[in-house]
Amino acid sequence: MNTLLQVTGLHVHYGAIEAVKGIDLSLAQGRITALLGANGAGKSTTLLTLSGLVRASEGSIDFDGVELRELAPHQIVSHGVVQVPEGREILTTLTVRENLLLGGYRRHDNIAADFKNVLEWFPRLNERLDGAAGNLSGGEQQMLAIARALMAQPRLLVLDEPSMGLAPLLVREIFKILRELNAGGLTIFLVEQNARQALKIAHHAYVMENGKLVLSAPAADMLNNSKVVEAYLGA
Amino acid sequence: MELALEILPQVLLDGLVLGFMYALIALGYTMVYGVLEFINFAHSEIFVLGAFVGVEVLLWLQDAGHLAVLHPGFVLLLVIVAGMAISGLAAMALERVAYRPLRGSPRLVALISAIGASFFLQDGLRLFESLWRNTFYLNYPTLDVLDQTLPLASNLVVPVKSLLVIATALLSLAGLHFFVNRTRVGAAIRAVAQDPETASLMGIPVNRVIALTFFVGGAMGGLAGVLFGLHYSLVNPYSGFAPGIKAFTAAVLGGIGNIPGAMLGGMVLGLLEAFAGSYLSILTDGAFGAEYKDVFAFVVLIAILIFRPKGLLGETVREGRA
Ligand SMILES: Nc1ncnc2c1ncn2[C@@H]1O[C@H](COP(=O)(O)OP(=O)(O)OP(=O)(O)O)[C@@H](O)[C@H]1O
Ligand SMILES: [Mg+2]
Repeated sequence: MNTLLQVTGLHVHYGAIEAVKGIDLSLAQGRITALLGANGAGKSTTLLTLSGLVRASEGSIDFDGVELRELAPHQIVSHGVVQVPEGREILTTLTVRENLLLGGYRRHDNIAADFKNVLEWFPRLNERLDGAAGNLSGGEQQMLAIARALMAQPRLLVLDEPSMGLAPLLVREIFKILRELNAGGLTIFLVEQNARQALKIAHHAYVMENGKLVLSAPAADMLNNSKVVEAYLGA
Repeated sequence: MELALEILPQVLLDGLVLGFMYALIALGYTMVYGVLEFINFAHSEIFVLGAFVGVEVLLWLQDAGHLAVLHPGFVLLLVIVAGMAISGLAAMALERVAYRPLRGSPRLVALISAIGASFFLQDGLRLFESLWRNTFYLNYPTLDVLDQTLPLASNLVVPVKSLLVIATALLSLAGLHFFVNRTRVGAAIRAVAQDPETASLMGIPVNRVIALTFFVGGAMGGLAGVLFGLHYSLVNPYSGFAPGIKAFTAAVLGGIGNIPGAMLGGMVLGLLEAFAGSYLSILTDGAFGAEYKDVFAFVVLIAILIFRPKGLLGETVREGRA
């Protein structure tokens, strides 16, 4: 199994606070990897560092032979690492269509085909294309955030708590789409507090606690070991 | 009262000319505020720079003997393009040198840098013109076509230069509106204005978009400077102060960060000023003369802002991250 992304010895500070305390993790090509952990464990910080929005104080981030650590966020997107950030950050004052088209901002090839494809994945967005994105429901906004990321033709899709604040039915729908995207070959890195759901679709999982990775195991093993789930995830 | 009605069309015309001028300048303040949430106080000098580029190009054409032979339309186009390009580039350079290194520091720091840049540009222009022409009060060479008038009615004589201001401003405002709302790059500017972090996660090069915003805002300011020079003839390095303050006020009046708001605010302010200038003394029987026009205009502005603190069309406020 090829490694698509390799993080080594990563430390991240916010001023004097060390939020990520030296982690190593690797993402296998074509797989779904989950990163689990309680509030404040450092999951979002790790993801923001991958995308270049927060700077590492030490360590390396190797993406298929390219060192991402010093790159600007838009360059990282160009390399194919695309993130759906926590809290489904969409551009509320722009239309749904504009959000989608801007998602493909770095691309110079014809994006019309992908635009159509993405709308097939998320047919609900079709009817709302020319309305302000801020008028979408929470679930629709999350779908837009994912759809927009797909417009960038990711080689690695990174999602930070896509299930946050959504009704169970919607969560299931979104996880189903993630699984299908993965079946089509997309590598996915998924941060979740909803541990059981995440473990059901993931191949491998890490557990983070206080800025450190405390567990790394195949997702199925973690799911079957209820002690692990209780001890680390309280779920 | 008859006099009041008699001069109304002329007053409206003057108000429109002023209003378009303020609107063009106000765009620079509001666009930069949109992407950086900061007032670029050196923008009034970017405006003046445009006026100086205009006069220098015209003087150069005159000295070389081209001014009389070239088609006036071509001359105007040349002057306008030069003023826009140089002011736009200067605004971009300003951002790169004076503002970008300070990004992330408290906003007051950038504000002080802007005030410093403003002095630097004023006195830089003064120094340059003093060395180059021995004076920093420059007069625009006359273009015959601009001094002609079109008598539209007995009480409305339209100078061609007023038409030039209105037509050019309308055209560029329409162009800007199209650019911001209908193009990919314009959408990127709006994206950065709303949320730069999310924009960068979408692959938008935020720094480049900010630089472009400065260029576009600066070019609009430079255009206003050239039009100002062509219309009022006399420029000096300190000419930017009053129009700058008023255009800034216009931007706040329309709702800072809001592009249509800047256009509307400029128009309201220009019309108010023209009306006050002509009607105050008529309506108060001479108790308040035209010299009170700014006082009156600002009193009305303050009144409007008391009732609509976010401006006529509403301030655009950037969303914070959760
Ligand atoms: N901008 C910031 N400035 C200072 N400290 C921060 C900042 N962002 C996060 N932290 C701190 O870093 C630590 C890790 O936060 P992070 O957001 O990465 O956690 P998380 O695992 O994503 O939590 P959650 O599940 O609540 O989203 C926390 O202690 C948090 O308070
Ligand atoms: Mg988080």
